[in-house]
Amino acid sequence: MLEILLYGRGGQGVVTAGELLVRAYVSEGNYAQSIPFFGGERRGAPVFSYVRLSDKPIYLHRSIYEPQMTIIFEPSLKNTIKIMGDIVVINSNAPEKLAQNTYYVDANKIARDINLVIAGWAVVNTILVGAIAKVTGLFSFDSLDNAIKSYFPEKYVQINSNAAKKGFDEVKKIE
Amino acid sequence: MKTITSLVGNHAVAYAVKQAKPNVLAVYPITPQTTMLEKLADYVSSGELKAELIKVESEHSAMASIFGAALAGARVFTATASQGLLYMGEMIYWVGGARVPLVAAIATRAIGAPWSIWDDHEDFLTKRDAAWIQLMAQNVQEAYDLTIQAFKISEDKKIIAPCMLGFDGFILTHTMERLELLDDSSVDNFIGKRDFSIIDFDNPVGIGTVAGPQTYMGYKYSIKKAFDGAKERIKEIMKEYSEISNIDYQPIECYKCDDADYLIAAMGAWSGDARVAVDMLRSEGKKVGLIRIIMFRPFPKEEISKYIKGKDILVLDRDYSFGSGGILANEIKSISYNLDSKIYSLIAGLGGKDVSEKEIKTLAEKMINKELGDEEWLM
Repeated sequence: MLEILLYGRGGQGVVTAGELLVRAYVSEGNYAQSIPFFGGERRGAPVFSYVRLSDKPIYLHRSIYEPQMTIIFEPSLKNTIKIMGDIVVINSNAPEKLAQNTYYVDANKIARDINLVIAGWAVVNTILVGAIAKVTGLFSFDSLDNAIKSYFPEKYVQINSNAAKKGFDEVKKIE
Repeated sequence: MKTITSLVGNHAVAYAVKQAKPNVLAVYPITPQTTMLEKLADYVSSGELKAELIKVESEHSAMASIFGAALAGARVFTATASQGLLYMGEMIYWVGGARVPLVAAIATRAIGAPWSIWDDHEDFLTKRDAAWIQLMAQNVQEAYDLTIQAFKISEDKKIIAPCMLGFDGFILTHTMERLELLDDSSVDNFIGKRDFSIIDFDNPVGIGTVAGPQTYMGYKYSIKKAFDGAKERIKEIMKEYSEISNIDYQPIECYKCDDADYLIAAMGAWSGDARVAVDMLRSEGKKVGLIRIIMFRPFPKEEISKYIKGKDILVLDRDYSFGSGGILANEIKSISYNLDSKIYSLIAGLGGKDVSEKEIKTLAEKMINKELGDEEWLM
């Protein structure tokens, strides 16, 4: 079982990212959970969501305490959490090594380039989910693309599908 | 035919309700149930569900409006939680007392004061004496499956009673999980048409009239008899559902109980964590089993008493009756008389406090080592 922490700011689509991971992974015959934490949400405040992925039924419903993988949606958040596990994927254009395996993608730039912006906020979730598909190899890009199609209203499918593909193609590892 | 998908609990219940084809829905928002009724409103506005959607000004009116519609022969549904369920409370008893067939989903949530939007089972359990059938789900799949079963149970002519589905607020309502959906025609065939009305316009009767001291107890006794008889019929309905869903449903689930020396008892989402604790204990050679309560009312006394004779049992309560004890612990104590069992009550998870399988395991080990008090609070 792989446990993932998704950590971002209200408005960046953290909960949606978790749900897309679940849809994509389940569509390949597996089991998964997306567990958002709800508190005093407002746009810009730090928010987090957890994901469990497993090839067997999942009985746990508690929170995740020691994620093996952390996804950081906003560069400024990197110093506000203790990183656990040895895989980090971060939205950053000037990344530093945060874990043994640190991957980065400049999701803010991609989102602005393709105009995936809502109320001034670059929406980076599908870009990062594309990056996760590439980094983990746990599900195919096609499965993610189908998850996006099943999730968004039709008018938002293409832009999010493009965003995910860019995240998938452009994510890099810090050597 | 089944479809494998992933949904959050609220949307899974909304989907089950859509497939049950209710005629009337009453909607009033409260966290953590709101996204379920929003989804149902979407189904109505898109025409996928042809139902009358009544936007009411309170939970009291939500239950009052579907009370009337259900008497007139409509299949009806509403949902609420916490303070909303309390505000609905007067009408909850009216539909229970009048044996009105209807379904309500409760996204379980702590009760104020102090204010909390997070999960525990206190709200659901305050309605244990209201003459409702009460079912509690362990995961999103069960929330979906039990909603469909609730409509059939509630409208069954040998039962005829309101039915309440409890499922943990946020922990299930907002968690997305894999689940298998039945196709519409399987649900249609399973529930069947609602072909009776309590109101018969050709033979008008008074409903909600006064019962004097000579007759009141007779009404209550008839409910008691109906609930006593409902147990076997609910088992049959669950079995019938299991045959179409290929998932085994019974009033209780016993996991590794047969050769167990010790038991854990729980209901709701954290019984999954308790199941993992059982596996951990078993891997260390400790013979512990799990009794999971799915049907809380009518309480499955006979089924539970088969397993608890001579056993030490750790009962998990996400609730508390002040001045008395854990509600589930008290229920199990009430049937353990003469069975030489010892009940240890654990109060935990109130107001959304997270509880881990390791904590449950540690407490079970303390029970095995005779180090556990009669009642412990996991703070």
